[in-house]
Amino acid sequence: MTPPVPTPWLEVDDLWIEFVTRRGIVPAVRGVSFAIGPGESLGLVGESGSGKTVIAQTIMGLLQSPGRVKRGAVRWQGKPLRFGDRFPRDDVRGHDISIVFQDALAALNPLLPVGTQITEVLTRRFSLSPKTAKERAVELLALVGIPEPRERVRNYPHEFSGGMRQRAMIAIALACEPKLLIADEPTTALDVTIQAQIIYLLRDLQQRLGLSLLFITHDLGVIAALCDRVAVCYSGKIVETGPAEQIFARPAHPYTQGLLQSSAARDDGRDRLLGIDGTPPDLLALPPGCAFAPRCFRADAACNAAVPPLAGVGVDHAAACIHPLVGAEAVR
Amino acid sequence: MTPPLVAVDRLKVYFPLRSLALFGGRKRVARAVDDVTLSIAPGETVGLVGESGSGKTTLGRAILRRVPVTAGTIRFRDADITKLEGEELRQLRRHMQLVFQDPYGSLNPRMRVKDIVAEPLLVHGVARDPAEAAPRVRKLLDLVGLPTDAAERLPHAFSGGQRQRIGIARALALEPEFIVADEPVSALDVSIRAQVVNLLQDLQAQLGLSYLFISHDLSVVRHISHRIAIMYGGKLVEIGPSKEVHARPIHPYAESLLEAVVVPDPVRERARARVPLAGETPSPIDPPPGCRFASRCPLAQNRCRMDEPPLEEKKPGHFAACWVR
Amino acid sequence: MVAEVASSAVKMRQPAWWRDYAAVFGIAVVVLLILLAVFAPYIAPHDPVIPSLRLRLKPPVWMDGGSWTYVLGTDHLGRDILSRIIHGSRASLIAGVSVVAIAGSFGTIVGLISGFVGGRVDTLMMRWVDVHIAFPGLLISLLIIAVLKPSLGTVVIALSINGWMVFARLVRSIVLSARQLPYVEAAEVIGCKPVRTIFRHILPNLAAPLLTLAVLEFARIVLAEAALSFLGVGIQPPAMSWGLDVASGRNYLFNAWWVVTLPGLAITITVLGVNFLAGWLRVVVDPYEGEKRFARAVANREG
Repeated sequence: MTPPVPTPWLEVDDLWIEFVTRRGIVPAVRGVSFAIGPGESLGLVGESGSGKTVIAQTIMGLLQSPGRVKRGAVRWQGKPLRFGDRFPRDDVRGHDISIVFQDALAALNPLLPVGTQITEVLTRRFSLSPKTAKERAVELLALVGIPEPRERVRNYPHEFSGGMRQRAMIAIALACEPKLLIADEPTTALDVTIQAQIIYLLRDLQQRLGLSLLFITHDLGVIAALCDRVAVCYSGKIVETGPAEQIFARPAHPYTQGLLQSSAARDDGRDRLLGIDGTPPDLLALPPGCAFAPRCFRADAACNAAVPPLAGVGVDHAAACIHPLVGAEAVR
Repeated sequence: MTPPLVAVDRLKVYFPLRSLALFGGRKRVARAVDDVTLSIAPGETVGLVGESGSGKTTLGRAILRRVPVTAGTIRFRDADITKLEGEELRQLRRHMQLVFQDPYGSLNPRMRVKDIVAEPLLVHGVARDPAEAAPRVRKLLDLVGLPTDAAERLPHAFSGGQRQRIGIARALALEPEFIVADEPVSALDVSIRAQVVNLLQDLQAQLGLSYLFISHDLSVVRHISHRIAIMYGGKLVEIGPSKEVHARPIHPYAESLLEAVVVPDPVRERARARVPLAGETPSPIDPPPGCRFASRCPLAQNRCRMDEPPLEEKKPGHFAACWVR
Repeated sequence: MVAEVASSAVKMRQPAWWRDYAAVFGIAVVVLLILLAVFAPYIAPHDPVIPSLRLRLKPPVWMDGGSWTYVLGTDHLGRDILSRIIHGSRASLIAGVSVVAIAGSFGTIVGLISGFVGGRVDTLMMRWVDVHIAFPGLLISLLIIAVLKPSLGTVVIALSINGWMVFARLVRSIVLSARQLPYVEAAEVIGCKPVRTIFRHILPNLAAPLLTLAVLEFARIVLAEAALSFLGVGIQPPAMSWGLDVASGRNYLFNAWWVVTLPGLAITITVLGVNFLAGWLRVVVDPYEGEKRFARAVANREG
């Protein structure tokens, strides 16, 4: 879709994150790299324990003890971002990058009207006068499709329905006029018809405002609807990355294929659902080789010997697999 | 036609709401389930689909006699169970069971797996003590695909999918004929869901079970269900053979629900000029007259806002409640 | 609001070792209290009751005129203060344990009934608790003591009558939330009889919070017993109590401070120790709290 861009906005470079627990050190993210260019949308897809949410928190500087960055860098327009302190103040997070969370009710301040939560951002970021800020807040609520925005700015979060709350969250995230929006499972808690509304809204906003999008989800369907590129996470590593059309049509990693088959809405009615056998590995007891090998139907001795690196399998398409699916095998 | 195993007739479940006003104030009721008629044949799976507030969970709980019924009847194998109490109600548990949504909360964290699975046998006197229940527990764990050494461990040693298997083993211990599965895979990872859904299907083939499979996710339901029932605002708006409902939905809400499902196919997703269904899922409190869906319906006419459409057989075996279609 | 933020900030900066030392101190105090109370006659160097005017108001050993015979000095009647503190621990321990046992059991039963039966019974019982809490506790104690003769038994009765409501409220709220747990519904669905559901699935949830509350209440009762005895409506001489000793020594505050201060110190150390113990218990029974402490300790070690 989007042609490769020479200077990406966000670069995540060989990021390693670990959590210190009583049972041991959990390697939640193990050497993840990706980049997002202007106007580009990347879908980070993975199941529980894949490390996708931790990556988002780290980019936003929200990673908290017991989590810590062991190695690697996050750069915004070539400039490295700091992490480690509890909430590093800089002029990127909350300015050029902002985030929308899954649980809007928990993320919004229950004691402040939604409008105030937007104007707070506006006065801090742009030093707007209270009156202009309020006008802008109304505009933002209108932008995210909240009916009667002039009345709704005075409402508290609990007076909004689930879908409206998520829209309000998006309005707050957009208030600082970010270049990159990180969306961490923003539709997972919503009803199907409301999820469709939010996807439609995000797609529309991305086109109108030229936003870059990092969309984190477990749902391949949502990625298909929103993202140009996909990175598939498994047990803290990216196992496959490439353009969405490529990956959805010709997955190279057996895990991606399994995931696609699991979520495929096949049209042959009553039939057996396809999935992946076994369970994801315990991060404290990772196998020596490929983390997916114990569940993989193609695994052999070589897969268990060493962790396979990401290697090109097509134009702009890479997979971390010793036996990637090729040709006729690479179907969903 | 075989007589139904479970038959729900004009069932109403209303919840009185406590009014916030100190004095007076109108007594309000939430109509969680409003006049639902539904039957499930032996060996059949009915998929019950709806969004939050549609009343699908309440309907499932009402059939299991877990919530008070306001009006209507529930019959099980031709016996009226609407008013069962005490010991009779407890005996009913041998015939109908529940599989929970939450694989983490639904197992007592302090009990070993063997005690969890043996508990139904003990409380119904099928086994006198844990030792007598042990062989049966082993068989059940084997049936749901858990290793034998699972018996001695505590639930926290298991992943979500495995815990769901433990929950299913517990539900099967008393050899029930009917199981309400309340969103049994919603809390599981996508790649694990198939394991649980296929297990439920295998068990049905093996044991001749009937299921009421409750879900908000149409794509899971259609794989396991013979018939699909769709609820909206406490009402059953459509019910019919799984394939039929999927391929040719009648009710505009069923159509929107199918349309709203995103598919993992970027080409199809982008090509689709999606105009999502506007509006919110309705509140069950003091619903307006007429069709519950009228306020969001693109086809709504005046009549839809005045009179409630009855559930009618629009095609053989395929019912819908709509004036327009 | 501000105070809350400030206190949480303090908690954050608290190094981990402080909590551990506090726990060690708490456990030591409680163990010591129990040993003293149980073995008082064997440990106490002197008879705590027989007055000896010849020996009155002797200072503790570290002051001029003090001697090792009377380590903590003597009171206005010439009785050994150390021996009186050792014997006085019995009143504190007995009052604390019996009140927590009586009020705890009664409150737990009320809370269980209220939480399980629900409906009108619940409303009635909780209104009763509300009214009872709204009534000044000290006044009720004084009323009861005015009717009955003041003694340790009366103190226990009076404090129990005032102390059960907090147990009832805690137990009720835990029962109500435990009833919503999916595994409790699961127990009902498989056909457990109510008694089994309660004992097997709901009551185990009570253990940890009840234990912590009981320990905290114990500390409060020790204080309350001392206060009633100090006011002269609690334990009566010749029986012994720290509160009583504080009261009887208060006339000599300026020429013999130790008569008041040392029993007072015993009260303070006991209450402090028991509170530390409660804090430690809360951490021990809560796995999340334990995990947080571990992470904090690691972060501290690495600077």
